[in-house]
Amino acid sequence: MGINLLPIILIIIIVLVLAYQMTKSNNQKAAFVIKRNVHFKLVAFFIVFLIMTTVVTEIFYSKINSATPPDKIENHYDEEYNSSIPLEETENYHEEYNSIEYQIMNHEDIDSDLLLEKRTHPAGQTLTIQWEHDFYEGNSPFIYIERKQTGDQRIEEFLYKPLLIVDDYDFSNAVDVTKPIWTDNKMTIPEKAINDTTVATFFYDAGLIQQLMKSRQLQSTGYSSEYRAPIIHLKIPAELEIVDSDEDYLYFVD
Amino acid sequence: MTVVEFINVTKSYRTHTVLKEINFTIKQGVLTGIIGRNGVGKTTLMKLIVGFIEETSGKVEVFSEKPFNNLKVSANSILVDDGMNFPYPMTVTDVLKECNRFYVNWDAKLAERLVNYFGFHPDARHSQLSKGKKSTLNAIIGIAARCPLTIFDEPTTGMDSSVRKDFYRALLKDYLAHPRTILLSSHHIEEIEDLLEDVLLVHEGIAHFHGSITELQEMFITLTGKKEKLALHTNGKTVFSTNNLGPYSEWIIQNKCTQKELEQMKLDGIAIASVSANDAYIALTDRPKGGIDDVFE
Amino acid sequence: MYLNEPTLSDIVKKQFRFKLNANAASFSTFVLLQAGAIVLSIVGTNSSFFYSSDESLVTIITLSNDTNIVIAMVWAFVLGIMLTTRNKQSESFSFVSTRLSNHLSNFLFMLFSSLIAGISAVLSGSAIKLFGFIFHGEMVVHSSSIVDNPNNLLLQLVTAFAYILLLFLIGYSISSLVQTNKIFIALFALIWILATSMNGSWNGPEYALAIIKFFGSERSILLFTLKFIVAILGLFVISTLITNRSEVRN
Repeated sequence: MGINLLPIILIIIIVLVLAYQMTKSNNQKAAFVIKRNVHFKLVAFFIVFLIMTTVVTEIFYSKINSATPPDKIENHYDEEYNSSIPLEETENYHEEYNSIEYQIMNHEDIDSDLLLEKRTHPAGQTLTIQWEHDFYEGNSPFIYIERKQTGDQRIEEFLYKPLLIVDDYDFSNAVDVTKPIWTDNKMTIPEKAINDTTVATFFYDAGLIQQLMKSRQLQSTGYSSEYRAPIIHLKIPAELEIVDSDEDYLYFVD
Repeated sequence: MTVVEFINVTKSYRTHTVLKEINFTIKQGVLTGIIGRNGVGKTTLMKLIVGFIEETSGKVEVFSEKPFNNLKVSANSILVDDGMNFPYPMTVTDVLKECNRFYVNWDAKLAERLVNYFGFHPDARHSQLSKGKKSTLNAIIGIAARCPLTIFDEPTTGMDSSVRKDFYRALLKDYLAHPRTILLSSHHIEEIEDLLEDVLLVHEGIAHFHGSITELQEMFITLTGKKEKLALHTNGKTVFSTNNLGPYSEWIIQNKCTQKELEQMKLDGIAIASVSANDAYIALTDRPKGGIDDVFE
Repeated sequence: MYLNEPTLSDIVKKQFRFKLNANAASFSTFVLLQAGAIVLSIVGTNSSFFYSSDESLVTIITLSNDTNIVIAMVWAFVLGIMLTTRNKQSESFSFVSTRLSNHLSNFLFMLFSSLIAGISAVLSGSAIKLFGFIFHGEMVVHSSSIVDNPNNLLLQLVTAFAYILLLFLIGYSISSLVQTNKIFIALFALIWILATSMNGSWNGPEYALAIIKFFGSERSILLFTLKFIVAILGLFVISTLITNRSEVRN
């Protein structure tokens, strides 16, 4: 659609300019008169201005370019985002996609890089899980509950990082995670504050003029992004009673 | 030396033919008036000379070269008409500066004096001038450019009468000081007849007459007398114009009477006089015996 | 009688200066358009990605001088069309001119304008970087510095210049053809319809895309230069030949 629209816009511009030219040549007195030399001075000024900004930009190049670039995807999720391999051909696609969940369910070891925080809390007779917001709106954390076979009376809480991938970049670290609040035998999942974080400012040279350059750095034509909510893995004593109004977001590990 | 030569030149547009095998030559250093009714092809003829348009058939030569797409002809000729326009942002001063670069013989001082005399603001834009002012500026450019072949097509359109007089005077003075070939067209032959050396009368697509003003005038005579007497004496002769006012009538006939006939007319109380250039021009371009008066009869 | 015999190059030079004066205002238009494009580009394009709930998002701001390049090309196309209007033509013939000298001086004018437009469109990237830094703070620059890679600047200038000049000549040729004969309007309309329509046996957009790719996918400097020179000179020769017998100030 974008390609078809452009010429129409061009034609409109041309018609407007020509119409303007015609009214001008129609002996109308101009509202104000610009002397001819002003036009040349303006161009000269503009070019000099651009050259000056170029010099300043080059002097401060390292300063301007000093933002930490976002991480490129290198963990095992990237197979799925690698467009050269069709999704269907990716081995164990579903397992890979849900790998943390898969590993939790199968009592496997989980890559420690994915762990955001591990906390332990003393266990009482019951554990109340309370949501401070309607968890059907947006992505609430997934909670996996596993009953320990050993007799220790502690609750182990594993907080796993959420996942945010935009094209090739991993912004998982930029997502702010609201951790559950623990008070006597009660886990509260707080309401998330409204939030807009600018994670990066990119500069790209216009794609067209990079045509002859050896190494091109082109913008994505459209961003693809993938998000997965944070995962909370609770290991609780075998006899602990769970109190919850809605168990939809609780997954029990057998 | 011949500056302009037309040999059997025809110019046709899609719907009509304007010039039909026209032949004439213009000599160097002569101020020639090109006269003719509206739409007879005076403008077409002038545009052919400067190479703006191309002849359909025949041969046009200016400075012994074909003028169409000819740099030499373009550099040595200028056509001043109301189609002469300049870019919107250019002021009077800008236009004169451009002329100075393009025309080798340009007299910048004269141009400046003329522009001052005719009261132009140097920062006025050409496109915003009134019609008369535009014509005046174009005419100034035509004079100051001092091109070996200078052509004015209806240069006085829109000018008021005092400016017209001034312009013709300026043209004549500059022509006398710097002789060159000048072609001048106008509807008002009486305005320019004192100026002209030659007249080229274009009528029905051909050069109907080409010669001096006196020759033109000598082609006809005016007879004034009683209508019946006039009718008697002009029997068998072409009467170009009849003007019946009161007891006496004024007829214009071709000057082909013998001395004897003229004497007889005088004896019959008919006054014989020469015609004005304008009357001769009208007589030549009118269909015989048919003027505007006939429409109302 | 003394007759002045000027050379073609002499008249072309004079006419080129005249065209610069006559079209002075179009340079101001260009500067205003470019300045506007720079301001828009400094604000940048926001790409936002939701997470957690509808109100929480992360944003990536992308700055680029794409708009400057596109606007320079549109400007060139429109100015190319305007150079051949009847009015402009008769203005040139108010002074010493032949059709050839008129075309040659127009070509010089287009070369000059493309140079100015190309330099500003490419250097606008620096202005966007600098003011983007002041406006947004440190950024990730996906382009090497000119000091490290001076070749890239040269290649960018050449590419921008070539595209702008090509757009100039496309506008110029279209307008020249239409001036010569109004039937070309119908022809261009037909080409437009053919290029956008699609059915079982005809795929217009694909052919149009093939032409764009012919220029746009060329990565070899030598072939790029060759293609553009042939296209630009071809268009110029066509417009010169086709209007060489046209009547002016009519």
